[in-house]
Amino acid sequence: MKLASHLFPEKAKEALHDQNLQKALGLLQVGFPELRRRAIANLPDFEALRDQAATIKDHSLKNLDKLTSAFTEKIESRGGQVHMCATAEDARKAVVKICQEVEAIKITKSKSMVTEEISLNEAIEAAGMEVVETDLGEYILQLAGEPPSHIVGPALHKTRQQVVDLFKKHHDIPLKSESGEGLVAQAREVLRAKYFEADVGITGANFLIAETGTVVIVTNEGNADLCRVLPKTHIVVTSLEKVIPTLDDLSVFLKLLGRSATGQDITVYTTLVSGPKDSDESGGPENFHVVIVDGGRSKLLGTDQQDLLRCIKCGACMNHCPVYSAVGGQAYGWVYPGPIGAALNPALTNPWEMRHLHQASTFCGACEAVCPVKIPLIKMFRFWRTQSFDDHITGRGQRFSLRLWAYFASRPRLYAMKAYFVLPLLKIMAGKKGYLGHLPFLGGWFRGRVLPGPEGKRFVGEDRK
Amino acid sequence: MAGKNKTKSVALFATCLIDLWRPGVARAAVRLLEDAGVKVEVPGGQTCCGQVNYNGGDEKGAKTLAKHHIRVFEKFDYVVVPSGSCADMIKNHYPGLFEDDHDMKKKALALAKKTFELTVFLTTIAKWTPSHQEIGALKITYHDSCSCRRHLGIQNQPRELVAAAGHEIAELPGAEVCCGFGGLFAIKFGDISSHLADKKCTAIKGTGAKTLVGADLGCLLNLEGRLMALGEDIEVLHIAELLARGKQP
Amino acid sequence: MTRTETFLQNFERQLGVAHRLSSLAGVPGALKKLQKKIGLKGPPVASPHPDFEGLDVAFHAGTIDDRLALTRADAALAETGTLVFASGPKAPPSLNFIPEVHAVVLRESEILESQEELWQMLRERDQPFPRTLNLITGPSRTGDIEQTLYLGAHGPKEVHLFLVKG
Repeated sequence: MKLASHLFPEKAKEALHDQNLQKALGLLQVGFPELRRRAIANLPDFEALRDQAATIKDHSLKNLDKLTSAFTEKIESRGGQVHMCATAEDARKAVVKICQEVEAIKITKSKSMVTEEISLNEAIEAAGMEVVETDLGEYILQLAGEPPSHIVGPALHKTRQQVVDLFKKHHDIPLKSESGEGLVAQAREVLRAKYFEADVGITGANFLIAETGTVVIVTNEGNADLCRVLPKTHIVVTSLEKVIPTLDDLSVFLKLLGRSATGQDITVYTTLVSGPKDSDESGGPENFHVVIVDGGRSKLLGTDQQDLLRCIKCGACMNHCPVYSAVGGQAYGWVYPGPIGAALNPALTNPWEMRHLHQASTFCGACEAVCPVKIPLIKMFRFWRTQSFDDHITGRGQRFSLRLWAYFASRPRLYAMKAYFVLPLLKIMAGKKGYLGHLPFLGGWFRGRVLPGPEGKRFVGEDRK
Repeated sequence: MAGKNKTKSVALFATCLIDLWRPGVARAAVRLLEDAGVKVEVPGGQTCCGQVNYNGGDEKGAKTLAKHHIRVFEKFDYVVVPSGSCADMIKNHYPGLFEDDHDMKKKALALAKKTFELTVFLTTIAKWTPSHQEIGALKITYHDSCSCRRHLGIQNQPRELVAAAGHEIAELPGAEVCCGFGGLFAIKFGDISSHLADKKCTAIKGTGAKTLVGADLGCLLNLEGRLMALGEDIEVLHIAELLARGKQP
Repeated sequence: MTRTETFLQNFERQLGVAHRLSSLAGVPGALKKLQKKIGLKGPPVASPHPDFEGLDVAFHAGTIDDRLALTRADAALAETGTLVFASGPKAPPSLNFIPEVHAVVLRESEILESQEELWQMLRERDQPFPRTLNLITGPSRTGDIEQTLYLGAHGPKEVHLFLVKG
């Protein structure tokens, strides 16, 4: 996916004035947190499960090589193939090669953030094949030519009317009804044929299980299953940190995933695939491939940033983030928006491109309070900010101001002197009205706000009684 | 706190925002502590806890200021802080700054243990209850800062104090959502910050309360700044200021 | 509450429709009722399960025109109201996803408590792990249009369970 995160400040400003987007975000900010709250209420050991999940993940990440080998061995023993790809380019090449080998013309695809990361669709189309997104949200975005704005509901920023306009523009058949039901019915009708015509189905994966050589795919629509069971070839594209040891470990994550993402006890479709169909089966793919992408993740292993690899892509962090709720996901400019994006993107791409994202946080902690695997997100933001400061990615002005502040604040007499001269001045500037309408260097404060004036002198050092 | 704790030494860490911008809050805090039977000292060497440097990525500056304040407050038995964010910095982050300096880490842990946010100190350590306010009951709404609510787990203590003083609390819907201050964030991403402040102010207006109370001055200045720009007639008070009203100066 | 009652409560909460039958003999009648309800002229498609022998159905893996499919669940999970389908020579997984209306036969004794029990059952079976294992909880749905829930996004719009005693 194209990198547009360096444009965050401008795009965020635009987003604040986008009425349609603000309406959608208003729904999101109330909807998802409430659904999650209700779903957790019926799970008394939720906190214990979070700890358990974090522990399983840490153990899995520590033993990633061993678990991945066990997973690969099982898949291969059942006639599937595993392709380890270090870079996005390697993964694109691997997928295109598989499709070309089976002479694919049409491809159906379910939602996978990793495929966005590696810009898979563009590579497939460049090789002359057709690829159709089947997740309704992703399908809408494919028609609109837009990037996703949320990892669970990628088109949540679109209004129903906008979807009506898109369908009218791109579909040959007339729209029977402009209601939500009508839109879903038409999408079902249009995509039905695609499922049956597809030579290859590409899905993502939520978890990879070493015990049984199993790929776990969860959806509510069932689109991933139709991508899996109908075509001759099923390709799974995923990332390397998703391997977990056993089926029982899976159950811990499944209890957390649905509840954290959409407030569901379990997603409608939870599918475990462990190879191509057997020789005596009539339903299922003949060819099964699992493409595992590194994309910059393995270099986080063994570092303080390893915790980022615990992420199970539930979206809870962004659902509870005040900044995400104000500007939406597209302003973040890359695959992963919100808190997880701010924390993870610099590692998967580069810190310069992602320099604004971790700065655009109030450190309120709502994200880490709801993260099912307890990723210490604020610690991660602070890590990137510290690196930015040391590497001079943070602007000269901010670095100088902070250094100057520390200089004065560690010298109490100097600090007292500056207060003695500056505070009365500011008080005078605030005047009779008692507030400041502007101050140099602090322009950002005055967007829609005034600054109540200071009392005019310090408390510390004043004569008490 | 009468009696057994009279011999303990208590220092007030006014915090840079209160010290420089609104000394009245610190004066009010002192008044409350004295009413609770505490003799309060205000060490002159105190300046800023260093949170702005720490969160801004200036780890060196943060360490310098942490070391300084560990020294300033070393000799006291308790340090009282009328701010959730500064108390959080000292309690939860000072020790971690000195992972490779064993001695300093020990001292930081010692300071962390004896540092308390104001409402926590008043209710839990001093076991103080405010007397019913002479100035009459107000309908207030209370703003929980994210530092208090999430980083320090403080929610009941300020409410207990406000209720004991005879005021009515109209709970703020969406109290768990950040007001948008976030320190430097309010300046660097002013549009987003102001947007969040505006949402919070809409909720505040909706409670019908004419007084907004909180325990973090940063949040309060943010909200007051937006309320004033909107021309709203809502008084914004730090909880210390509210509770100290009507008390002898 | 018994395990069956727990299962049914969760199954219905997830918008599944349950029909309780005293024996397998009740399946043809229940199936005909469904056919009539959706106005299906020809026979529905079904998986070639031994329990379906003699039924007026077409045995194949499903086509784009199939509106009603009958499959045999291997188990169910009471804790979430979930139906479990393992692929096999007599169980093409496609039938669970293709039709508008999905009819399922399950015996009460096949209802398990939890996922953990299911994993144990699969481990203890003298068969390799299924190539495709579907855990299905209610009809297909999407919230992608203005965060409102609509059924039948791609998978079945209705899930009817013929729950047989014993």
